[in-house]
Amino acid sequence: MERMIIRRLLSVPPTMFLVVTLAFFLMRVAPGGPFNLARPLDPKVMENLQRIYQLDQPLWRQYLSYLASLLHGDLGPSFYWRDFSVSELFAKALPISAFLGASALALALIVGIAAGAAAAMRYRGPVDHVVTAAASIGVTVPNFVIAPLMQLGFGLSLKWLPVGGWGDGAPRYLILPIITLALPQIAAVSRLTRAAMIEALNSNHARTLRAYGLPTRVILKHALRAALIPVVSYIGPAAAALMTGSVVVENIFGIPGVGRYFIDGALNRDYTLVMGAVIVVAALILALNLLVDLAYAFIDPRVRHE
Amino acid sequence: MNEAAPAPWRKALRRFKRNPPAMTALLALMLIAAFCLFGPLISPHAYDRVYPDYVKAPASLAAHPSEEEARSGLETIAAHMHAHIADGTLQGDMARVTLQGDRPIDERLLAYFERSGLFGKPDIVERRDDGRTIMVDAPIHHVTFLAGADSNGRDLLVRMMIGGRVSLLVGALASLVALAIGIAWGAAAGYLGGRVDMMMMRIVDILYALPFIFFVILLIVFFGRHFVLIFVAIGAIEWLDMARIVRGQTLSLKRQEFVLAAEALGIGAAGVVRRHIVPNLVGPVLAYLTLLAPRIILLESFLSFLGLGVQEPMTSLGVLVSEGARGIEDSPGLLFFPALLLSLMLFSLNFVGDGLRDALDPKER
Repeated sequence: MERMIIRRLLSVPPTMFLVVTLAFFLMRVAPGGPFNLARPLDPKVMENLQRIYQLDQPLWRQYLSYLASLLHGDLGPSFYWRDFSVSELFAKALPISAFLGASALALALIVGIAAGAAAAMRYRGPVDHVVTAAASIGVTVPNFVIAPLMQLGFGLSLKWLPVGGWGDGAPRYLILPIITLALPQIAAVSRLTRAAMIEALNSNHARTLRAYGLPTRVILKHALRAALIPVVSYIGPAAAALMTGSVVVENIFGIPGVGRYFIDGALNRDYTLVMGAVIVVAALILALNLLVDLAYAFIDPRVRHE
Repeated sequence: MNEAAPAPWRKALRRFKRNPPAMTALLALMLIAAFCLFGPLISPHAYDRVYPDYVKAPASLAAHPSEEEARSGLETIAAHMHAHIADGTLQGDMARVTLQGDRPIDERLLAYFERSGLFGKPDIVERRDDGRTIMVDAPIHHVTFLAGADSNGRDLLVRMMIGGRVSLLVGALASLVALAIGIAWGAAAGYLGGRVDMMMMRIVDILYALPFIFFVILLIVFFGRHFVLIFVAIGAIEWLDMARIVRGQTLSLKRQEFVLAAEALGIGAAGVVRRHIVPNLVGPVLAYLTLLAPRIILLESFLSFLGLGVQEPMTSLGVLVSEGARGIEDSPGLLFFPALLLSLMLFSLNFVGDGLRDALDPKER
């Protein structure tokens, strides 16, 4: 158990190093730069800018100095948002994205597990059919289709909720983005729970409980615990999917989160901002995967005693 | 394998045929593919033909121009010709118009008829008043937009077909890229085993944790929206699962007697992998492939939605959906039809994939 944790922890630094290196060189070999504007700058001005941002130095030196400042937790100044450092930008954007993502994940787990368990308990009954059908639709219909439909339905037609914007985090503005983000994950989680729960209810230990004449409630509790294992291991991929989804959702609903900064940054060749976004996202995914592995051990005794 | 199909395959086929949702999905998929592949050949519209008069025309079975559209079109033309309409009758495919001007009408300006897209080349029937009044016959061009016209006045139906082609093509090509890398990597790791296996799968684990979609976006933003780049990039990130599946299968195959027999006969590692391991991987790989294709199509649409996909006037379903989403208030059809086609495509692929998996691998049930 401890060895597994240590092994997992040890794999974090090389992975992060790989992310940083890949992103850095990928960006730098690309044509164009942050100061190649539609109207060319005066050569003198360009030279000064290049010097201030250290773009006139050889690439390997820029790389090393970036790594050095990164080790101090400094993501550098933004090239596009001239008066801000990348850390300052993310200090505002990250909580927004994280809040959206965490809420969507929580919603997906609560609703997905409940729906999946309900379907499994009434295997091949009407509830099961409804959940299965809804989940198939939820898994297939992409969130960039769902989002405008939501805007049309709840925003423009019914006028219940605002169509977009952030509104300084007022709950009214958050409902549509969170639901849009969560829907595909709700579908995926409910599918997983349903399949695992059906298997658990048919397993030997559930049969034993039934043979002892224990109440359904107790049997369900044991079955659900076994069924949660694949769900927990899905949290990692789900988080990654949520981050991808948040790029779309932040774009459509006009939310100033990390996803928006990433796309804008890439289009503006804002080297440091893009690097920052990639690093932040990679770190989040790695941290979540680590947590998932730990949670795994708590839920599944077989892993703990390995 | 030239003799009769081996029994396991026949059994799998029978299992698949007995699965109504999967068979329905397969039929739907074939219909969609036929629609996308052959539709543009039948369609009267070219996918990049612009009809400036029919911007955002709603979906309808009725032909354009309607009487009203033809009349307002005629008035615009007359205004361009510094004249007004004294008399106009529309009869079937012909419009007979009498134009009257304060000065003699410049007949070269009749070119405006053709330029509008509503009418064909006009014939002068009669000239009066020193050319101040002319009577012309112009054929009316009738067009129908079954799914409406987009915000540039292009037929949406044919654009959906073209977009569907692009999506299917990217799905197929990127799946092949993922397939090639995944099989090579997974079979090698599984068969060689030991330390090599550990190293190779460790690399897969590390790559798995990378936010790959962000790298794809970077690649496409920086190196331009090249069609080849899009599917190579997508294929190159989607091979990880394939490698894992193939490795698992290879590990179990490796211990089977026929592999031992081949090794005993002195066939080298490469030969065993090629002749005995890879052919036996076809089942699970095929099933996974049909499940991978919708994911790739979705990814391509996602990129297109962000404006990073194929370039105008070429289109893909993702581009169409994003264009539709922008004008959803006044023309919901522009979102609805492409979204429906995309969803149906993904839906049927998923069901076919599930059916194949159930048929080829009964243990999964």
